[in-house]
Parts: sequence; structure tokens; C-alpha cells
Amino acid sequence: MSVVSEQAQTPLQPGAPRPPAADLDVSSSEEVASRGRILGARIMANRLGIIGIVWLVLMVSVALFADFFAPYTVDYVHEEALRAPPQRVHIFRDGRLTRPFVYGFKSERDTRTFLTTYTEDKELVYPIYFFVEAEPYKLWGLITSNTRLFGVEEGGMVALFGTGRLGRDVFSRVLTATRISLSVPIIGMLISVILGSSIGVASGYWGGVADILIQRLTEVLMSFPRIPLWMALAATLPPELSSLHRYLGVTIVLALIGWAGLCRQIRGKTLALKESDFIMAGRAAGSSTPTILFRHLIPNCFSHIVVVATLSIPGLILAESSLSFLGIGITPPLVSWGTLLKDAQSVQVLTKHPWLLAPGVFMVLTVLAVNFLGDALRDALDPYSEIR
Amino acid sequence: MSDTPILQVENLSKFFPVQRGLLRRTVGHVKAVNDVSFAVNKGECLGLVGESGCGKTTVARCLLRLVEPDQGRILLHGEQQTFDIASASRKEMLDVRRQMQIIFQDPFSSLDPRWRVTDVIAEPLMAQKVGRGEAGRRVLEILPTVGLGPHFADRFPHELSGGERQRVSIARALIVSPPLVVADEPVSALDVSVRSQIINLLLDLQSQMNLTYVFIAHDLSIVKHISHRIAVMYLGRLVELGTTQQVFEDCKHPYTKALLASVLIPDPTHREQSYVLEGEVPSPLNPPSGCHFSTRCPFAQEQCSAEEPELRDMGGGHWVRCHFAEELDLSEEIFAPQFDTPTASN
Repeated sequence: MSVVSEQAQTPLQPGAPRPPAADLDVSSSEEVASRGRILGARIMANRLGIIGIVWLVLMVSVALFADFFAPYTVDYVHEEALRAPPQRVHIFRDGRLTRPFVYGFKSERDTRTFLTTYTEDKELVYPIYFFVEAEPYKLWGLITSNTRLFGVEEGGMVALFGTGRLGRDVFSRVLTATRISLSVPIIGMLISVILGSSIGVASGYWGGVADILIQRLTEVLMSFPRIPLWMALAATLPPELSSLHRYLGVTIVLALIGWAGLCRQIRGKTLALKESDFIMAGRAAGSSTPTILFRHLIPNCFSHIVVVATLSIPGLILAESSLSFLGIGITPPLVSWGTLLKDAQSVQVLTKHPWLLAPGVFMVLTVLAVNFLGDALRDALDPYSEIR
Repeated sequence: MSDTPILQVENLSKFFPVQRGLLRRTVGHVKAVNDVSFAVNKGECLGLVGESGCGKTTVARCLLRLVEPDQGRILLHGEQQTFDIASASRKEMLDVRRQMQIIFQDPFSSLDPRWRVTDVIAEPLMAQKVGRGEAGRRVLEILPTVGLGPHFADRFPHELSGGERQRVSIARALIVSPPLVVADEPVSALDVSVRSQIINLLLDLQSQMNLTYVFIAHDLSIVKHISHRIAVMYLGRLVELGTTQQVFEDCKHPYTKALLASVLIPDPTHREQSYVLEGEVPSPLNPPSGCHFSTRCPFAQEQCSAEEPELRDMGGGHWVRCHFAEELDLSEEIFAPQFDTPTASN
């Protein structure tokens, strides 16, 4: 019985080539792919994920620099073109390649239906210039500028997505609305992640009466029908609230409902983790409860939190839009995709002015993109998924 | 090694309630540890052995207050003061953890996968409010002591082998220089080839740092090698306690004998017919009446299932929990199997 016999010799297989001596220096030559690199490679291998990321990067930059990308301000009115259709961008004139331009409108009023129809007026040519000087704006409330990405000369008009009921440029409004429609879900998600993960971890770690109470509370929250609950909470926001405060209010309302699902998931994860040896080791080391919660448990739940949080954004985008569409969310002068869709409520819009649905298209694409990203993240973080 | 106890466990019990149904009614208790008493002397290694489920690990966790003991006292004689771990306050526990640390069984699950080796090893120091710079310096100091190079400091656990991980685990336990270390089966999750290295490391560290070990294992050959005294547990009860020599050469309890007989001897010519215990370990939820071992004991008599034996001193610090400890002659012949075993010759 010689358990303690020295077995220091490395059992080299007879046929195995001995590694060159230089490779034996473990510190310098060993290549270990970091978690981040593996994660990145796995996301990059997912085509839909990349599409999602590209669209979201585009949307976020649009949101950040909306004033620059939009040719007009939200309130700029084209008096001569109410509910005008999108203008087509031409690059050929008289069979020759020119700078991109749009034609002006010729309007005719149908004497029977009183509807104005717009046709391209080939006499009115508005060439599109890039980096033009137009109405000044304040980027992020800090930097004053008057450079916009593109525009036409004074007196002309460019409305790539047509104009609305009051003659405002739909394209500019959709781009500007991106700010609200993306920031409400992202801020709401952050609040609900902070709430949900800390309450969930605490609930799972301590257990007992607190756990039971918290879990019943989340069940009640989750079993309410969503829209009436949002409406009720949104209705508690005083009507005399300024547009900006209302925006914050709506965000908080959405977050207060959204944390419940995450809380339950994180609690489950915590229940599983808290019995693991490294938590036991942390307690044996004398680590305080906050250390165990915030340095052991939450980091180990983190991949889970990221996925759940990402996949909760589409719900929040739709929630904000629903509230705004119903008139109890974002109010003018702020615009969100939901408030823009308010203009597209009638059947007449669908038949005669379908371009007013543009914000809806953006919403659908963004929701899809976030879902693609969430799925890609989930697959990439799942240790059991096969790397494609 | 001296005779001054560093740790005294008195009548330690831990019962886990078993709850059933919607209302989580308690329908019984698993008596994981039942009235266990022993002492550990300064500088010695006390081996705690027994088969799976006998309560070894629960004892270890009670010692560190990782599970709350239900009854009993755990006295730790520190340099300045004596603590009763079973009733120590949160603040006192922090002092206790500077004097007693634990090495866990599974090096794969006892290191947080998100923490670098430095942070893992420094965790007890950070808990003791040692500054970050000082902690990092001490980690670099202790790495060579456990046989790891300084480049391991920035690694993550998943980059290490089982043996390396267990070395990290040992470094974590020793970083606060505790006089007493509880080792909960520190090598049973390791490759056989690495076991001896870790055992030798533990022995070296013991002599270098004058450590006291409570060494839990189910592999008797390792315990024999490392322990000065051995405590044998069966179904939450201590059944025999004595020096290594007493237990290995003159054991008085039939269960200890059966454990010893189960040790395999790596000798191809050896043809001993070792004694095999019959039956399963009874459920700790409902242990047999009288002597817990009576259902499997080849010498069981009426008295055995009627009344429970006391842990009695047989002289020379040899304690046995058996009615017939004096009368039994536990030699190999008696331990011949009581059922037909196919012989090796055909």
C-alpha cells in the first residue's frame, strides 16, 4: 500500500513526440482564449445576430445624432404639402447622371372628395446637398450646430417618407422619435435589471418568509393583464406634468412592472448556486454577505441577466409605443414611434397615406433586431450550445 | 505534537429536518451528527473516517459554522482566548476564521469560476480587512509554499488542473496562517497520481507551519499515513477513537474491523478473503434501535438491538462504542465471510 509513493515523473506516452523545450515555459506560450474572445467569436458566427447588431448600432447612432441626420426639426411644417407622399430620389436627369435630386409637388384637389393629390412637378428640381447649413440645433443640449447631413436649398423640400397631416416631415420625425423609443426601453430595462437581480438574489439567498412574500408579490404582478396595469399606473401620472417628467414617469412605470420576471429567474439561479462549494468556501473565508451576494452570486448569474435583460427590451419598446399610441405615454412636444403612429389610426391612412406607418416599420425592425441579438447572446453564453 | 487540546468538540449534534407536502410539515429528522465528542491536540492530525453519509462532512461544516449545530459546544482554544464556535457572534466568528480554515473536497466547485487565483486566495484576507496591496503581496508569498509559480496568480480556475486547483484551495486556507485546518476529503476528487503530491504537500506544510489537521477521508490508507489519531464514525455516531496504532492494530469495534478489511492491498499474490459487510447502511432518518451497527454486525446479540452502547474508554485514550469490546477477538479468522464466496482458483 503505497499511496504516498513519489510519482513525479510525467507519464509520457511511448509514441508521443516530446514537446520542444521552449514550449515547456508555461507562462509564456500557453494560449488560453479568454471568455470574451470566445463569446465574440460565437456571436460573430451567428448571422441573424450580426444583422441585429448592425441595425441596433445604426439605430443607436441615429438616436444619438438625430438632429444631424434629420433634415428638419420635429415641428418644421411644409405648408404647401400636407400628407404628401414620399419623394423619390433621382440620380438621372435627361438621361444624364447628376447629383441626387428630388422633384417638387404639383397639387390638385379632387372637387368631389376634397382630397389633395400630389404629383411630381418635373419643373421643380431640388438638388440634395450634403452637410448643409440649416436650422441650428443643440446636440445633447450642449453643442450648438447647424450642420445637417443633407438637405435642399431654401424654398425647396425633401420628404423621403412623405409628410403628415400638418405637413411635417415624417422622416425627420421618425429619426428624432428613435431617441425616446430606444431610451425608454433601455433605461427601463436597466432599472428593472437592478431591481430584479438584487431582489431576486436576496430572495433566493435568504429564503424564508421574505422569499415567500417576494415570490407571491411577483406572481401577483405577473398575473395582472399588462395593458390595463400600465394604463392604471400611467394614469396616476399627473396631466400637468411636463413632457420630460412624463417621459421619466413612463420609464419608471414600465420598469416597476418589468422586474418581476427577471427576479424569479435570478432567484432560481441563486437557489442553485448558493449550495455550491465556492459559496460555502466564501463563507468559510469569512466573507460578508454583501461580498457573497455581489461578488460571488451576481457575477455568476451575469450571463443569465444579460440574456434576460436583452430579451426584455422588445417588450418595453412595444409597451412604450402602446402607451404613447393610447395617449397616456409620451406627450408632445416629445415624439416617440408610438405618438407618431397615432396619426395612422384610420383606415384612410392605410389606403391613401400608407407612408404614415413608417414608424411602425422601424419599430418592427428594431424589435426583431433586439430579439436576434438576444438569441445570439443566449446561444453564445450557453456552454452546451455547439459552436457553428 | 503536544497534549494540549486546540479544539474540543462536546456532544455535537446536527439533525436535518425532513419536510414534506405543501405545508412543509416536518416528518422526521436525519440525524447526521449525533452526540459526537472528541478533542484535537495541538500539532496532531486527527483522521475522521467512515463511509459515505456517516456525517463526516457535516461535522466538518459544523466546526466551521457553515451549518448551524443544533446541540453541543465546539471550543477552539486560540492564542489569546477560547471561543465556543457553536454560539460565537458574527464578530467572534471572524476571529475564529483566522484560526481555523477548511480545505474542500472538490477543487472544481470550490473555486469561484469568475475569480482569478489571486482573488480566490486573498478572499480570507479581504474578509479580515487586509488592504489590497498587502493581500496581493501575501498571495505571491504563499504561492511557492504550495508549489505554484507566481504566474498562476492571474489565471482563472478553469485554466488549472485538478491538482493545481487543490493547491490554490490549500493556499486559500493557509493565507491567514491558521493553526488549525479542517481538510474535508482533500484528495478524494483528485487523480491517484496527484493524490500523493497533495498529501505530501499537506505533510510538509504541517511540519513547516506547525499546523493541526482534522483530516476527513474514507480512504484508510491515506488516513493511516497522515494521522496520529483516528476517529471512526458510523451513522452520525462516533464508534471508535484511538491512536492510529490502536485503531489499525488493535481495533475493538466490529465496524472498524470491517472498514480495515475493506482496504485493498496492492499485491497480486495476496489472496486474503476480506470480510465484506452485508446489507446497506440503514437510513439515518430511521436508525436501528440500540447499537446502530447491530443490523450489520456479525456478532450482534439481543442486547445490541435493545440498548445503545456508550462510548467507553478502553485505556490509553482508546474509546469504543460496543457492548462487547472487551470480549470480542477481532482476528482475521473470525472475519471470514459468512456466505459462500467463489474461490479464486477455478
